[in-house]
Amino acid sequence: MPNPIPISPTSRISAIKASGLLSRSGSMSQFNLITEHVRTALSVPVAIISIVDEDRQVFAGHCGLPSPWDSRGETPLTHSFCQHVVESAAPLVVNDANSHKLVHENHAIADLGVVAYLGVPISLPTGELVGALAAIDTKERVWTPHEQRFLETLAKVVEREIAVGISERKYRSMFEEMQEGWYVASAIRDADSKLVDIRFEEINPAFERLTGLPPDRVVGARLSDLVPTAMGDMIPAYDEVLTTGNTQVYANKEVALGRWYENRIRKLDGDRIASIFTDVTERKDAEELQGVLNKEMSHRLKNTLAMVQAIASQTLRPVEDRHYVLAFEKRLHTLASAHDILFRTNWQSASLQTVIEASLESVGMAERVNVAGPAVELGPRAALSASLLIHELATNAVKHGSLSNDTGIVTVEWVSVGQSDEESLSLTWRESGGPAIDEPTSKGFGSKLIRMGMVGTGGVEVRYERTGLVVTMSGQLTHLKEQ
Amino acid sequence: MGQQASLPKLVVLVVEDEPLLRMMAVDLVEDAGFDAVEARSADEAVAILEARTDICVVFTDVDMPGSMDGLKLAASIRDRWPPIEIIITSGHQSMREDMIPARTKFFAKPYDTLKVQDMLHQMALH
Repeated sequence: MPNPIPISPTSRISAIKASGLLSRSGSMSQFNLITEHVRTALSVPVAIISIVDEDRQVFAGHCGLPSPWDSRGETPLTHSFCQHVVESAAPLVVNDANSHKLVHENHAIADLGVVAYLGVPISLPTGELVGALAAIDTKERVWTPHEQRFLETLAKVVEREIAVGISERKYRSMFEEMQEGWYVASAIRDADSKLVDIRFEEINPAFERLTGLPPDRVVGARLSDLVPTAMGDMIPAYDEVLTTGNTQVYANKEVALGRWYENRIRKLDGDRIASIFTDVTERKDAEELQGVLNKEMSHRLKNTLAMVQAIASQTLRPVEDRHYVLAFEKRLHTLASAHDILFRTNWQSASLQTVIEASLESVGMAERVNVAGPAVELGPRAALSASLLIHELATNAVKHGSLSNDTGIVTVEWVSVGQSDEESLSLTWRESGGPAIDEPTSKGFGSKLIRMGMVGTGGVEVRYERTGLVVTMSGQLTHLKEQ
Repeated sequence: MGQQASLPKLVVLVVEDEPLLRMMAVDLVEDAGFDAVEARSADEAVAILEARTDICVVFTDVDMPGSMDGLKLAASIRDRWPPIEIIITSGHQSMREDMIPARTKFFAKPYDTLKVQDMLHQMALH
């Protein structure tokens, strides 16, 4: 026996109440089995596991008690020998109650027929004494040390059982009190063992709060009976979890219930899944609204760019050299198409490949340019400048470079170099098969744009090689991804 | 645009509520060698189409005030004047195929003047 911890009665009582031992459900049957075992092994008519409360003792397990005590499952303290085990924190050995000074006036003698009593203490895992495991005889009996040791050993089993019960209760109450809905369901498969449905086995109270579906309708029901509209979204998700064993996060809009739920589905053994879900309707609605606003913003921005185009075309109408007017218009379109690409990701990022291809598309030379490199996402700033830059290079190539004849080509390649924070992107624009070129003497806006590089801070090298123009530009990935 | 002189002067109806954009569209049409007729709304466009028989292409915006927008106008033209070619333009970046009638081309704003002019020429050849 561990030394019992001296504990004030109130903290002992609150520990007992928190343990759930006073409630008459739980692992009662296990405790009844133990008392059954005591009765047989010690040849006594009655065995009890008594939990000593403030004003009563409650039997967590019992067998052989006379009526009406057996069905009541408890007695007042006036009928309790076990309270003395708790008070003294030691075994109580009574061979004949009628001559025992501690208990000779106890009502249990008359009302329950207790004559001989052997009780040993039972503690909670946290040390508080809660009651006793006791063997009771209706006639005088001399208890042996061997019998006492037997009972003390069995008390350990009771304590272990209590610890398991408390831990289970703790986790259960977590599932019952948590805000998230929780359910366990088993797979229903067809003859080809294809997953066709699930059957709900267990749910927590939040399940009803979140879905409005009461437990008596849910437990035992198939998903197809309960919310048929969820089948298309959820069955493939369950199937993936059951097949791969990976946890899957899944948001589905439940049309019948009109809400968005995010499910975290886990595989359990026995072809079952467990899922914790939350109502994410507010977040989804906000995202939807954000999408609508973005679309409207984008629409207005495009209209404004169209107005800029109209003002420019009217203002520049007298300009004889239409070449400059067209160059302006093309740059404006490049900006607009980069905006389109960014819009698709809610202005978060744009793939370098997509940006380059869109810029080449506007020049109409996409089929003569090979674009190759690993997947890289650019932030909005880098995406806009990269698109303008590629547009200038392509326009230039069409006018003077390798795209000015019928056979020349351009290769655009990029690699990432360095590690983590130092990682940078190196992009090469290489023309070949074009006419011989000389380095131009004038520095127009186009070449200034090119020299600004992908993040506006340079890092650009322009070489006029025999095979054609080669432009290399680099930028730190952290800068390229900046918002 | 002297190279267009050999083509017959076809008439393009420009439908756009924003005056600046309408002005630019009219210039685009005329620079391509066509005659332009202007409408400020889809309703006005329908009135013009009912009154004239020489319109061969309608070049319309989508978002316009009045009883119908450019998409409804396009659907109505395809229904009532099937031979007329249609070009739609809008600030929305794309149009789903099923949103626009058959034989209808879409250009996102701001549009490429040269590409729209090319399209007008292609349509005029039909």
